[in-house]
Amino acid sequence: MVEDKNLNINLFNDYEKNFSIIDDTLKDCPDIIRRKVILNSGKKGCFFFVQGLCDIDLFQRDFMTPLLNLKKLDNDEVKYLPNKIPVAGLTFPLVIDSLIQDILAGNAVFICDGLTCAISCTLKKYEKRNIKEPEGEKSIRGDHDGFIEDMATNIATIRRKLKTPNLKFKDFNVGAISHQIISVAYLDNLASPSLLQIIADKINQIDTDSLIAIGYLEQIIADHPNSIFPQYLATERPDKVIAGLLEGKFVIMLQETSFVMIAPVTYHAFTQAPEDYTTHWVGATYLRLLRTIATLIALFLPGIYIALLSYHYYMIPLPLLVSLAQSRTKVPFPPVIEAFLVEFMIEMVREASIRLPSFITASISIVGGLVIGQTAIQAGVASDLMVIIIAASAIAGFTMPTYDLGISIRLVKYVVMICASIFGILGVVVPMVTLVAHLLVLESLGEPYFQPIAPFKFGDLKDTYIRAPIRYLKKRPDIAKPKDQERGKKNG
Amino acid sequence: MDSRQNQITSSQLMGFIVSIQVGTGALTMPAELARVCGHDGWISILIYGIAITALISLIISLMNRYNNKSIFEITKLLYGKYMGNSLNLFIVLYLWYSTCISLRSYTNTIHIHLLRSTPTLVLCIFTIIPTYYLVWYGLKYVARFSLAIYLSLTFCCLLFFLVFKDLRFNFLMPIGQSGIEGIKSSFSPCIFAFLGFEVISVIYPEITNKKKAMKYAIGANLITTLFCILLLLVVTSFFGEEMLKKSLYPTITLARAYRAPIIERMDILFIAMWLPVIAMTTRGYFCVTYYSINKLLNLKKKGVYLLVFTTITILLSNLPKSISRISNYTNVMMIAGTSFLMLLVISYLFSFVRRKGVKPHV
Amino acid sequence: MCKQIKKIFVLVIVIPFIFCGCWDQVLVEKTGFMTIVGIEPAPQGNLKLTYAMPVIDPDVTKVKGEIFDIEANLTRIARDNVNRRSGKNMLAGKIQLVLYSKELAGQGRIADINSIFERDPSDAILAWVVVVDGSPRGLIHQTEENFTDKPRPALYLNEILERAVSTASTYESRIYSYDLISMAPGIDNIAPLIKITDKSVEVKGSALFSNKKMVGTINAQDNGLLMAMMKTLKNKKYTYNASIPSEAYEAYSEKQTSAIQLNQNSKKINISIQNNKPIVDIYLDFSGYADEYKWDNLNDEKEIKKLNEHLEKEIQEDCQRIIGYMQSIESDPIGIGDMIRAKNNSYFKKVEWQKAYKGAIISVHVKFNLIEYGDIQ
Repeated sequence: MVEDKNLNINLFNDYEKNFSIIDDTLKDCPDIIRRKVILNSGKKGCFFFVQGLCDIDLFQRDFMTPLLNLKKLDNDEVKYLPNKIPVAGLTFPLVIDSLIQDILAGNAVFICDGLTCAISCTLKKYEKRNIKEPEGEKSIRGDHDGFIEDMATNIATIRRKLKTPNLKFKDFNVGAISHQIISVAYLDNLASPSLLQIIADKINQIDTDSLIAIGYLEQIIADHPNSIFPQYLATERPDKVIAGLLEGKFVIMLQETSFVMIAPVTYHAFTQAPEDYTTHWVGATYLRLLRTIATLIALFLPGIYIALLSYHYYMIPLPLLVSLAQSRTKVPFPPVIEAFLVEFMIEMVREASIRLPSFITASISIVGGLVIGQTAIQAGVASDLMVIIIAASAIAGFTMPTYDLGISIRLVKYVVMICASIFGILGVVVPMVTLVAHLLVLESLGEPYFQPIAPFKFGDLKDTYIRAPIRYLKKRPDIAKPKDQERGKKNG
Repeated sequence: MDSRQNQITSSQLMGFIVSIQVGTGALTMPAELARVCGHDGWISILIYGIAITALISLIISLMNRYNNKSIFEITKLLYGKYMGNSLNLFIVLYLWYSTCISLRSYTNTIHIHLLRSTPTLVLCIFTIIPTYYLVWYGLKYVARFSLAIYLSLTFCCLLFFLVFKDLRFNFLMPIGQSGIEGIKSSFSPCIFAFLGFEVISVIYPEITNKKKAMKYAIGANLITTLFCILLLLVVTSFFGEEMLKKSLYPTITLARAYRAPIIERMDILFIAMWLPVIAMTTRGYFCVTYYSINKLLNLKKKGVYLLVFTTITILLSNLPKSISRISNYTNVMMIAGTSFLMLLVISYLFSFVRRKGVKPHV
Repeated sequence: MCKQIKKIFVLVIVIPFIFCGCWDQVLVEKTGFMTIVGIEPAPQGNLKLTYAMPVIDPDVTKVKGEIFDIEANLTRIARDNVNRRSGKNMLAGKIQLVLYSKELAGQGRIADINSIFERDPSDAILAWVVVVDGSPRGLIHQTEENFTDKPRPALYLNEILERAVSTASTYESRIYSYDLISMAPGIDNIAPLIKITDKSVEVKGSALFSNKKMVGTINAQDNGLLMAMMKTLKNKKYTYNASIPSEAYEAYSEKQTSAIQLNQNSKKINISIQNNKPIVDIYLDFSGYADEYKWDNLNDEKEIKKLNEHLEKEIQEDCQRIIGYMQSIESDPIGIGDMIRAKNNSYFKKVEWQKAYKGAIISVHVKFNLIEYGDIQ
């Protein structure tokens, strides 16, 4: 209703008219309090504020009391008001539209007879979540704070950890109805201005009602929206954000969501956990290699198994082959159907355990394990080696530190299984090649996604599949094209 | 975005050239050479490798004489409009023919070794999917992908080390038994093994740092030569000359003959590693053909034409009916390739005579 | 128009997947993978074949394996015949051993039969080529039916053959190496020789071939020395049964023979052509451990020296005997012909090697050193 009328007009001289316009726009909003007063000079005035967003104590003490104690208030006196009202954020809006925006944002606004501008001050206080470690990204030796929905707190968290004047934030306004602010954080002396321009262009083209979660934003501004691989890293942990900023990357924060997006990223950013940097490099290298092998197992092991069973029996060593054939004679289905049955049961258990309250989840896992494991084998629905392989690949898929990649890996696994059941080992090789081709083609903010494998940058390899000791990690990686390639200059 | 899609750097060029050269050549070449010149194949490869290196430097100096032009424009400048256009047509037809033949050999290898009853048409369609996907996006991504050839080459060298203790070096001796006649008669298989570097002349304008192009192209040829020599040495000293004359794909037989500790047989693993390598030959030719068609005919809508091109390639590659006919067709390809090289040499010499458009690239 | 073409293309890709019958599918539970093949000659040039495969059905508990006997003129025809009888699809990808009878080996037909294994890419060319002293059919039936205290026949035979190779009692000959040696001029094959005894199968030694025909046998003890001359005894645990020097003073035992474990240090073969005859000198260098000897006899330097000389003489005599035997049957597994072809090619082209080999003068020179003798003197 507000958008219909053109409120981009200045305040009128007539108090009654101003009041009626604002009151009319905000009718049927019982949470917006209109507090009428009569000043010492006999003029009429009115305070507007939202009940849940305004700090009532400070409002009464620091805004209402000085104004009510003034001897007179007219257009000349407005110049002296900043000295008389002890409030931190004080503005004098002239346009009714911005006045209403201020009220809705949580400010307290005062209009008065005889004033051509209104007085608006920032006295926000509302319920926010406590800072605590995000549930999905836990770390053992890293810090335990995370982002919350309130953007000012998030910005403060980042500012606390990077006390440099080069930390800049660029604001954009999106959402036709929600009027959210997107804040892009970057370090001025490191980030590449061309990438910032690309981000700005993309965000300025967004035309939507509201961005409810960070995923909406990600899908709108992604380079390749049809790809199953995420091109931006969404995280709730400040230490990942700080590491990204120090490499010259950009952090996109959205008001009212606790997730932020880091751009540009490579594929290997999704396989790195914060744990890798807090421990010794030998252990970290071992964990990274383990995760890489787990990814390969999760993707290709069921496919290879089906291909060997159905097409290339001669590749299996003889003792294993005899016991394998003996276990398979009990199962009436071909291997691919059996694999999909077991996989389907595991997926149902996983999806169900998200919906249930936590005290039932434990018993569901016991039931799932018993049902899927023992009884299925005894009933002859699945063979034991097949269950082991599918379970191993499912567990290997869980080692991914990020949730987005988990789904992608599962989808690729199904495609590989189907192709392997039709074409044998060729049906494993061709999807593998297509997957690599797809990763090569993807771009994140215009930068190649599969660095440093292709295009091959040997210097950046030290932080992908292994983690080199800290003294070798002196150069920033090339993905965000930072202006300054070396870390830690003496002059900060 | 279109212009950026096709640009490649010199090191990507090196991988690209190696991936086209090694491919179908490495599989059947040892047997062909054994039939022609006994156990001295590796000497022929060495000699022809050096000759081809000289040829490559000739081609690149030809390209460097003109400012950022590809062979299509150079033929038009050198031989006039009509003859230049017909020469361009022959070049494109040769590239297209190579694509179809290499696709057919690739499908053949799969047909014999892995899937005997699957119809070849289905195999063609299935294996051309990654090629289609990469060529859609451009030459840059095909060249990036071709860097994976180094991985497969390393794996192959690993296989060579594993069979080391079964090698009998007496099979290689006496060295030089076949003499000059052997070298002369091994012209055909050797040239076929090295064919693939002529695409430099077509994609030369897309290379970003041309100063290093000569170095990298020669490096590519050296890598191929070394790999072929190593392959020949190992295969000949493992099987002996007589057995090699009777076999068709000695590299895969070598993988079959090794007894691995746990998995007993290694040949499927080797084939799985080697299949992308053979496919890269097809992909290289496919990409260059599509690129040259685009350049000559100036096509706008990418999707339709790529689809039509793919379909025609698949249908054409199904034409040869049996394996023996394929060897005839590969002979034709070899002759056409040699004549293309002759054309390049003649053009180089001719460009000193007719200097139209000669502006050495600074 | 563009969208229509895209739809058609997608259909063209998807339809083969829907209609496919998984043409090449070979399900492991419906396959009978043969593990042993036995081949012997039958009248009129036919072959008698025997196939053995393990039983994988859970309801069959009495026997561990299934055997099929067939007579046909080709291996592939025989396999098709058996497919008409068997409960599962018989496939040859997992064959571990191919057993040939002595008669068939003597006729020289092994190389021909091996060609089917090389031709089919899914067949195993890593299978053993073994010559049986007796009937392979009988051996397969006996091991399958009567050997109740042994593991599965294929695994059992595999085990004894591998162990025989590791103690240099026989030579490892697989299909691919058999074939490539048959094709190569100047070198002849060796294959393991097995024989069935009362309750077990014994590796008797090796069978020697000349020009693809089997012409003689050599026992396990001599085979070790042949291995030393052919390739090397490194990594093999070869025990040589030697006699004890007669002057050796003994206090506690009446032993006449000893057991020495030989390790080979080096082998050198020098070939020269003089008067149109090849002169071959083989230099062997051994070191050994005395595994079984008399009590209290090796404490002295002189005793050890005596033992060394005695053993050198004995090994040399044995080697010469073996070489004499091989020359008489015209079998050249050491590959001297191949070496002559490599180094003196003009001479090799002039003569027929089988005949020239008989007249060649081959002498063996042995050096031996005793290194250790265990825990007592």
